[in-house]
Amino acid sequence: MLHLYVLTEHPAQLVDMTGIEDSVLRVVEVTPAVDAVVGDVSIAEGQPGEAAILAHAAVVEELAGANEALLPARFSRGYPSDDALGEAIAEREPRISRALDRVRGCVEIGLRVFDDAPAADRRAEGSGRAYMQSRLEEVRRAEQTAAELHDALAAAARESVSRVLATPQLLLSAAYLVPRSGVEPFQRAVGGAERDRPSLTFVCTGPWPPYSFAMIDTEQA
Amino acid sequence: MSSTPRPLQQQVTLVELVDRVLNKGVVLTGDITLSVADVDLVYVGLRVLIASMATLEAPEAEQA
Repeated sequence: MLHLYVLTEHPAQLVDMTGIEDSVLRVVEVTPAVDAVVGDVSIAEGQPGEAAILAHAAVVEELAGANEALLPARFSRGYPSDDALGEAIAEREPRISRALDRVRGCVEIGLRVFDDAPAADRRAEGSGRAYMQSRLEEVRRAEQTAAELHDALAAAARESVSRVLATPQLLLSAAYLVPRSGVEPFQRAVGGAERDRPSLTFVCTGPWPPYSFAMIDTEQA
Repeated sequence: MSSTPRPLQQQVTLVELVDRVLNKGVVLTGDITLSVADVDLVYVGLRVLIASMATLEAPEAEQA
């Protein structure tokens, strides 16, 4: 089986490492513009184990350091042949090329913002209607806070994705596409937002390869 | 998996990494039949630990 790690702009730069099951990395030249980096692995049964997930992430990380325009691949079951992979890529080439253009020279910064005392956890006194009303207001306030936070950071990024209140505690989950040279100022902006909101907990991670901006099936642009 | 508990920062990084590898990234076929970890629920479990992060002055010191 072929395991796909990334799609890159041709010509792909390989790195000196092995992948899942210590397999050799190789390039499949799919179209004149797009290369795939793959490894030959045994057929996977069920869920990938921790070792395979970590190996995939490590290969993607190193390749992202060596290739300016790169789309990390989601961990998937694999492809039976170079041709099968090639067909799947060729069908989607316009979207892939656009995505490569968008992420060129950029990394991803992840952000999760937690409200340690979320309103939705507090029990309100009074009638059912008053309770629902106060809950709605608190959700609206939380959404407004999340939007303020996100909008300020999104303005400093090339692209962004966000989700508000995935759980009552998780005020904001977001990813920001930032040029490499912009990472330090962006992290300072996150630090500033954190100091402005001492009641919230910020978890900022990265830089990552642009996983969140490689999802061509839910293309936003 | 290591039997000693990972420092919080490593746990968070691992959650973020698994989320990206299993839930994000380019998908070429509709045939993604892997079930994926619900990262948001994992974060609910980590919340108590993460709330304590706000009081950590020197996270590096935790990773002895």
